[in-house]
Amino acid sequence: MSNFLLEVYSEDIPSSAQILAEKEIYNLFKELFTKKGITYSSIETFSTPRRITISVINLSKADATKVIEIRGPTTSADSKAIEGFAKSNEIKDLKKLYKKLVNNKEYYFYSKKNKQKKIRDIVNEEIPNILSSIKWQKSMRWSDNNEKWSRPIKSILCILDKKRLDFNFAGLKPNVFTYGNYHYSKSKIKCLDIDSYKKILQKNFVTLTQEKRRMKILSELQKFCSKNSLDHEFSKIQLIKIANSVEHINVFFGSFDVKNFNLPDFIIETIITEKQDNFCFKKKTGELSNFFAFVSNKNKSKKNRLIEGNQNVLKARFSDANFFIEEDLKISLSDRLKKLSKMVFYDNLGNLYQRALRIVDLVETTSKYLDLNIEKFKKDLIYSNFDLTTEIVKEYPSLQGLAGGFYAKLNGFSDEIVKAFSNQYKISYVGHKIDLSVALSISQKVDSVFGFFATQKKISGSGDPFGIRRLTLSLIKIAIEKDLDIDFYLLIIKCKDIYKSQKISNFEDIAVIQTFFNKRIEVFLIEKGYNQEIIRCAINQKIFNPKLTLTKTQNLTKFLSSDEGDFFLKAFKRLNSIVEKVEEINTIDTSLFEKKEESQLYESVDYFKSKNKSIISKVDRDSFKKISHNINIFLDNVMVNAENEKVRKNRKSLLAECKKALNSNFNFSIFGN
Amino acid sequence: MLTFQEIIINLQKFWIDKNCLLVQPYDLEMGAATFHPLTALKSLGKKPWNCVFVQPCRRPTDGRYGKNPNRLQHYYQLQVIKKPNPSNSQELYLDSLKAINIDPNENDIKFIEDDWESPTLGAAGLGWEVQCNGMEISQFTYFQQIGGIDCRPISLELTYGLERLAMFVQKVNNVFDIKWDNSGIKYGDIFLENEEQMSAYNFLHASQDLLFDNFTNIEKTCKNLVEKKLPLPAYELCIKASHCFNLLDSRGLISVTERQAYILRIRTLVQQCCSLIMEKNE
Repeated sequence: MSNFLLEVYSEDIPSSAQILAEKEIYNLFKELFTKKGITYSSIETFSTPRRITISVINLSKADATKVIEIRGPTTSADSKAIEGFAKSNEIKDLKKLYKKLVNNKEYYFYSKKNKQKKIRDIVNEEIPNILSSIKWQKSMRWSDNNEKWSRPIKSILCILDKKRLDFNFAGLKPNVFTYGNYHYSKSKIKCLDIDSYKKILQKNFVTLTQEKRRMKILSELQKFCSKNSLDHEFSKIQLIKIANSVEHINVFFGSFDVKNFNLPDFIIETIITEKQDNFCFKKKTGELSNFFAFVSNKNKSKKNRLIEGNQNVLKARFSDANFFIEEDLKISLSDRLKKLSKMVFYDNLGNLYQRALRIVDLVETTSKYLDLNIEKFKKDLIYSNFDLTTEIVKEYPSLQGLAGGFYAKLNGFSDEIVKAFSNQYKISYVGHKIDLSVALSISQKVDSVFGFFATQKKISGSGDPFGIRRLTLSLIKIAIEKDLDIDFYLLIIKCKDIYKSQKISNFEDIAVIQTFFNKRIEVFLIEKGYNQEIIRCAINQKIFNPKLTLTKTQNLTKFLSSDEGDFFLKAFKRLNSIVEKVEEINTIDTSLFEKKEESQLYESVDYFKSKNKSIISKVDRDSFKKISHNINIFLDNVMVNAENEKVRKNRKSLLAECKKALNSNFNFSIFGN
Repeated sequence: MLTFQEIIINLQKFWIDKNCLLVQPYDLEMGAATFHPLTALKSLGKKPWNCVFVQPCRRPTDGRYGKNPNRLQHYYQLQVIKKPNPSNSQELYLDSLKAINIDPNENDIKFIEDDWESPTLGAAGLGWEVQCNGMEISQFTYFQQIGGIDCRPISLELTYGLERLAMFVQKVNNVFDIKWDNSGIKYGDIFLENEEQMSAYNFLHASQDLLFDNFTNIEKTCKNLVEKKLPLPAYELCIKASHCFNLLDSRGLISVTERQAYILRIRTLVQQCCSLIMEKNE
């Protein structure tokens, strides 16, 4: 049994890279051990801004007697292929090859004993590959090395059974030394196993686990809140980011004075949390308090200097924001619209003023679906995105929307408009009534989604550089949270028409957007725990109504888990296996019916159609029950492939018609045969 | 307390002792010291290069008529290039702070992720914004690409915002209060009027026709020089074009669409210059 420890010690790695590297390194080592038949009792990974660490306990060697069988070329292959196979596997005597059938094809095979490599040799050989295989979102080279890492590597500690390993990565050979928190000590420290590693780092101001660092910050913040009667929920994302910016946690608290600045809370909050990566606190009344907190590696003895420095920076930033607001207020609203007309929306998709015009139109259409009367707001809606021209938004892009609402209020707009401008970029509207905000939010999101596809750009990979996935998810959430029976397909069509009338885009390929929308709702419902096949069955390609899809999915889930549902699905699959082969569908001629089962099925198809006329969420159990029964007795008693060609074709057409009726509201073909 | 000029002298001295050549600012307007050919062009190719210099920089859109406590349209950057980057880059940087009385043991120095990109130069790098007690004082970048060409070996670029540093060291809250020397001359005595007048020029009076004509002529000459395989003067014209573009921008004469197109035009020229330099190096 062996124990293994690897620490890659580097210059400061960003938080997101720490999270990614820890995951990747865990998976890559796990994969390696599985591939090489190495067992272990546990793997632990750690990360801080300066190090990525993995330790593996109780590694055991691969089985020496394991025989592996290697498949070679087919027996009909030419001699070159066979010789090549022999050469690459170091087979000197071709007689050792034997033949075996695989899927009706005959292949040469060769068996060899798995050469037992020591764990030490395996890891020595594989670590450089593993370290090179991490798929960083961003990585870099340094000095004259070819290898990449998130930031330059300074040292690699790598030990197996208290002995140093021996490989090369990024011009470095592993050693047996680690380093403490560089704010406290610069010298290297010898370390030969995971237990002493943990103890040494603890003693030298390094908290190895992100979770522990995060919890320490949270508990200090909460203590401060209780002491000062403050109420604040801290964002987990922010806590993680800040916990990953230091190796040792000390939380410092300061205060600020905004008397001389005319700044709304949301700007102060953004400056503190976003620009400075500090924490802010709210009073029990919901107002922002004048306290802030920040985290540092430094110990509390430096408290005064650190707090004073950070307070000064906040003051300078508040002064900056104040300047931006003063400058912004000098420009009239009509000049803002002129400025909008100089700003591009997406490439080749006109300017933001044209977008503002579209939004006014779209809000009108959306409001009809939401049963809202927006007549009195129409003239003001043209300003919905004027804040994109302001200095404050240029400096703090995340304030778009909120800044619009703020300036709208200063310009005397109605409360509804102020609220709508402020809230339009929100992703979720839980606890918010259906009002102009929701209509505006839906409209500008639909316009962005359509606009993106009109540029004919493609979304690839897991990234979302234009935020289109997020916007679509928001549309789904709004529809479901607010119980809206809204078909976004109709809004997309409206959007298409406006783009066309503005002579900006003639994009017509709505099917691409539908496929994208449907994929998003599928992902959304899978995350909610629904079965993928059932969701796909409930999705109607021509409609994008998330609420309807959800209800259909819920009803169908219930139906298919019942005996009736099971009975139906079996009948459908029987039907589907035959109808799949039908090439030609004709009008059904009832005079060609020879057996009563034909008439019965025909009637139940009619009955089914009458009960499932339009796209509905309900599963009409009675019509499903009848048709399932009649499909079964038809298939049990009627010979589909009748000798008479007309009868045969008529029967096939009846079955095809039946399938078509069943698939009119749901798409049961998803379930196959 | 260190004066502005002492901060410059001490940092230069520190880096001279670390084998950097003290070179001088480039005699053209530029938005950042990175444009200096001794930074941008020397980062290409295999030859080692180590230098330090102070570069006056101009960002016309950042002018505030001298009314903002820390925004200027003209300011100074002290730049260090180390190629290839030394293995103790961060330690060296932290030591350099001691030379201007910022003790990293006493202050909270943080390296905050900041990946740098210059669309005009077709350049990118990874590194940090360095904060001291929450205030940004330097940019720390490992160049990965210049003019669209991969840098091999990698250069380290350190950029000290001298005014910011001085404000921190001297504990003043307004850039114009920075003490330039010990006789009582302040930054504002030298530059406040310049900021007022230049802001008016940048925002209101820079001639539209002249700027557009200049840009076109510079681009034409630059292309001609590229054809003649003279990348150094051609690159100099790229710097001119870039400043011309910045002025057009501050005058609000370039729409967002055109903006991208202008950036692309300069980048294409820079790339051609860099390719020629690489050819000549080989």
